[in-house]
Amino acid sequence: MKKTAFLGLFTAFAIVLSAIELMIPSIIPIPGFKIGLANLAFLLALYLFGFKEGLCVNLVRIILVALLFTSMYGLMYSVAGAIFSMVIEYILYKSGKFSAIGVSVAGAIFHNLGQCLVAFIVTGTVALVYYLPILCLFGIVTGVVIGIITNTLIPKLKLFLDKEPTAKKNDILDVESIDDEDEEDEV
Amino acid sequence: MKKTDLILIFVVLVIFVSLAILFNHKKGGDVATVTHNGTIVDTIDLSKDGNYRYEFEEGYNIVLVDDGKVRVIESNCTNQNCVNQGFVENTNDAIICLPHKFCVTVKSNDVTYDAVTN
Repeated sequence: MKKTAFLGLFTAFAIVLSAIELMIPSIIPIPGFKIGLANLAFLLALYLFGFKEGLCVNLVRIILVALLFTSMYGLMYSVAGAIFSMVIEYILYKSGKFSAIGVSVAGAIFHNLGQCLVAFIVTGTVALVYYLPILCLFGIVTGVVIGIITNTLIPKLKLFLDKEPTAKKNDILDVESIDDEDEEDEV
Repeated sequence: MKKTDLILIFVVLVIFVSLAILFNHKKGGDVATVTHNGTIVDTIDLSKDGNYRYEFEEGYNIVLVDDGKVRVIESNCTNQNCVNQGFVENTNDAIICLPHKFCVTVKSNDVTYDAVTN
């Protein structure tokens, strides 16, 4: 239950990050330039719960953001970029050789690669490839920042999550303690 | 931050900085090819100023040529990225309107140059 609640929170968090990102006017007039703030929510979900959970958070976010703020045409690009970045992030995370910074940087680059690939398939022009280096260089910068934020947040969130199981076990066993806990939350 | 992170960042930096240098050629183009859905619709001579209007089932884009530079001045696309991008003038610069699958690429008439980059 705690997990579901947390994943809901992460999804909401991701949507808010996407919304903020959409409000920031594009500083660099290059198609496809994004800061990638929402990657933070995916990374948190990946590190705290796992790949499946992160995938859910990210896909729900993409669909909701497309429905809420942008048009559906961009969905394809977002999904392609997201899947590329999520897969590489999961592989690097699983390898255990990288911290969140390396994972995030790789994710940023693969996001761009995925989007470029889809743009190439859709428009049939290689022109977008010429923007790839500059997009990826910005991706490295934003990736490092997102990675640092993730690195600092994870131990704190883990501490918070690990506190729960003792209370949780009791909750499942008897109903009264659930009520108690609810009251505590309200206070 | 682990050591592997630094190595990864360094490697990708080297790759993309060298790619950026490789792709960076501030050489004015002679023509602009207009493509829609990957097929060439028009080739515009950049030495002549003018307005060009392209209509597709997705919508329209109006291209302006001025002083050897080219830009999209008007479009009814959803994100207006193509309009916001402004003028481009160098070979292989491109304005891409993803919603309309519309693309304007600056090309050079110099054949040997094209053979190298493409």
